[in-house]
Amino acid sequence: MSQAGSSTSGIRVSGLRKRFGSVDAVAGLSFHADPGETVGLLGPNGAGKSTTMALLVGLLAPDAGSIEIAGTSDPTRPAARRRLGIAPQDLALYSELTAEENLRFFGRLHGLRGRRLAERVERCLAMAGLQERRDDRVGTFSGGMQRRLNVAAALVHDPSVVLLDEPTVGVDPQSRNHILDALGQLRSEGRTLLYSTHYMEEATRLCDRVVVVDRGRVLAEGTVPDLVARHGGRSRAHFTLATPPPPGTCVGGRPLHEFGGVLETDDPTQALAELARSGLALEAVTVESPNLERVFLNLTGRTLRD
Amino acid sequence: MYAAFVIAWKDLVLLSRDRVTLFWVVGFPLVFALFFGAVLGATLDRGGRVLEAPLVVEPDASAALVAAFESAPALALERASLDDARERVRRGDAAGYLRLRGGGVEIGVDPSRETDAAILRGVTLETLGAAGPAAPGGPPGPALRTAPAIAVVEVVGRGASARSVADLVFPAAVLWGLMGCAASFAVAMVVERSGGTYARLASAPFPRATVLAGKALACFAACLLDAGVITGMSALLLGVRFEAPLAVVAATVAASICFVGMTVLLSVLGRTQQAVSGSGWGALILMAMLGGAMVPVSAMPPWLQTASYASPVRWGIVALEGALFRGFTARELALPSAVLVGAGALSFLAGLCVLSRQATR
Ligand SMILES: Nc1ncnc2c1ncn2[C@@H]1O[C@H](COP(=O)(O)OP(=O)(O)O)[C@@H](O)[C@H]1O
Ligand SMILES: [Mg+2]
Repeated sequence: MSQAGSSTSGIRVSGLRKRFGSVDAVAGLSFHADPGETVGLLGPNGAGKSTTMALLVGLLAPDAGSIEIAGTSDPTRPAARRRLGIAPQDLALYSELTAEENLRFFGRLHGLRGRRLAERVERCLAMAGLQERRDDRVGTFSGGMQRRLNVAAALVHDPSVVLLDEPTVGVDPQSRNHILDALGQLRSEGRTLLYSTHYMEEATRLCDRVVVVDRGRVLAEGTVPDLVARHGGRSRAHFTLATPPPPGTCVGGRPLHEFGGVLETDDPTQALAELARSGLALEAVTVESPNLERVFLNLTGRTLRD
Repeated sequence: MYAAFVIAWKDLVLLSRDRVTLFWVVGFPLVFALFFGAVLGATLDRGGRVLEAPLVVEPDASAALVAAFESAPALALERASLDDARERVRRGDAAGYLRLRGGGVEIGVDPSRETDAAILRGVTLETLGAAGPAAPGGPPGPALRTAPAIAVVEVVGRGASARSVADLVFPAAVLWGLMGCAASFAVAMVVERSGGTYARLASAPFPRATVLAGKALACFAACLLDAGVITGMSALLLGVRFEAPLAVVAATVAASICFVGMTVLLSVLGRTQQAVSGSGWGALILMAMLGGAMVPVSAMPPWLQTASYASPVRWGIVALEGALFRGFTARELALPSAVLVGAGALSFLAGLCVLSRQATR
C-alpha cells in the first residue's frame, strides 16, 4: 500500500517566514525530508512547529520563503493534498460521532468511497487499536484513545507524506507506545514523516534525522548520534557519598567539599574506575550520556520543557 | 460538490445528536406557539388604542355621519376607495375599514384580527350613539332620522382565511424554528473554525469555500426539516389547515434562504462558541421582537409597525401569513420572498467578506 519512493513524497522548505503581529513565529526556516525519511522537528513550546505545519499544508500563507511538498510548490492544490495527511496538535475529531464515523467522514472528504473506504477505515481502526470501540462516541474515549484516533484519521486516505504535530502530547505511556509503534510501522512502509515534538526520547526513538528549532529558526540538524557528538558535550557521572569526604579530597582534579559531585568525562568507564579507587564511601553513582536534551541546553542555555 | 454533501450530512448527524440544540430548534417554537396562542386567545381588551382604518365615503353618505366618524377620538381614519380599502384589509395592512353609505355603516373586518374587529365594531356603535338621535330643540340630521344600519362584512383572502388563533401563531412558530437553526449553525460554524477539525477540513483536497457550502447546505436542510416538523405538529396539535400548501412551501423556502445567510453573518459575530451563541441569540431576539414574533405587529404603535419592516422576521411572517390565510397571489408573495432572499444573500456575502479577511490574516 505504500506510495513512497517517488519525488512526489518529499518535503523541502527554504527561507520560510511567518509573522503574527510582532511575533516572528517562523523566522527563515530551512530543512528537508527526503522521500521515505522520518524527520523530527524538535523544539520547545512556541518554537514555531505548529505554524510550520500549518504553512506546509497551506492552512496559512507564508510571508516569505518556498515550500515544496508532495511534488508541488503549492500545498493547496488538491493533487498534493490527496498525498498529504495531517494529525494536528489540537484534537481534530468530532466528539459526537463514533470512531468509525469520524474515520469514514475524513475518508469521504478525500474522495474515498465504497469498498476502498471500508478497507481503509478498518485498517486505521486496527492501527489505533480501537476496533472494539468503533461504535462508541469519541467523546467517551480516554485522552490516549482520542490521540490514537487523531493519528489514524490522518491516514485514512493512505497519504505518502504524513505530518504529525506533537501526536503524543498529554498521553499515558501505554497509548504513547502504541502511537510510536504505529508510526514505526508507517516509517517501515516507506512513507515520509515529519514529526514535531518537544520530547527528545521520541525524536531519538523514531527519527532518521532531527531538526532542532527554537524561536522560528533551525539551530542544528542531523542524525541523533551526529547531533549529540557535535553539541551534546561529555558524559557525566553523578555520585553521592554515604559519609563526608576527608578534607582535601580531589576527584577528577577538583577538590570535593560536598556529599557528592559530577564528573565530566569522555570515558565514563575510566571515571567510574577512578571513583572506585578513590576510597570514598559511595552511596550511588549514575552515568548520564549526552542526549538531545543536552544538545538543546548547550545550544540555547534553556531546556526543551521551558 | 460531493465533499459539500459529505460535510452537510455530517452536520445534520451532529445536530440530531445534540439534544439541547434540538430543543431550541424544534421544541421551543412549539412551546412558543402554545403559549402565545393561549395569550392571544385570551386577550381581547386592548382599550385606549387609536385604531387606524381606511374610510370609504360613498356619494350618498350623510355628512353628519362623516363628520362624526372623522372626529371620533378612537379612530384615525384615512379616506380611500372601496377597492383600495378592501385590498389593504386583505393584505393585512389595516385591521378593517369603514364604509359610509346613505344612512348606514358597513364595517369590513379581517376575521383573523378578532380583537381589532371587536374594537372597530364597538367604536362604531359609540360614534353612532354620540351622533344621534337628535338633540332636543334642534332638527335631527337627515341621515339620522332612523337608526343607522350597521352591516359587518368579512374581508377574507381569495383562498383561505385565518380560522383560529393557531393560524396566527403558526408563522411566528416557524420563524422561531428558523431562528433556532440559524443560532445553532452559527455556533457550529464557529466551533468548526476554532476547533482542531478545521485543520483537517481546510487541508482536504477541495477549495475552502466547499466547507462553507457544506455548512450552508446543512443549515438549509435543517431549516426545511424543522419548518416541516413544526408544520406537521401545527397541523396535528393546533389544527392548522393548509389550503395553499405550495405557497406555504415557497414562503418557507424563501425564509429559510434568508436565515441561512443570517447564519453565516451571525457566525462571524465572535471568534468563540460563547461569543457567537450569546451575540447570535441577542441579534435574533431583537429581530424577533421587532418583527412581530414575540408581540404581534398589530399590537404595536404605528411607528413600530413601520419600523418592523427592518426585520427579516416581519417579512417572513408577511410571507407565511399571506400564504396561509391571506390568499396571496404568486405576485403578492414575490415581494416578501424577494426581500427575504435578498436579505439572506446580503448577509451571506457580508459574512463571507469577514471570513475571507480572517483566513488570509
Ligand atoms: N494565530 C496566531 N496568532 C498570533 N500568534 C500566534 C498564532 N499562532 C502562533 N502564534 C505564535 O507564534 C509562535 C509559535 O507558535 P507555534 O507555531 O504554535 O509553536 P509550537 O507549535 O512550536 O509550540 C508562538 O509565540 C505563538 O504565540
Ligand atoms: Mg504546537
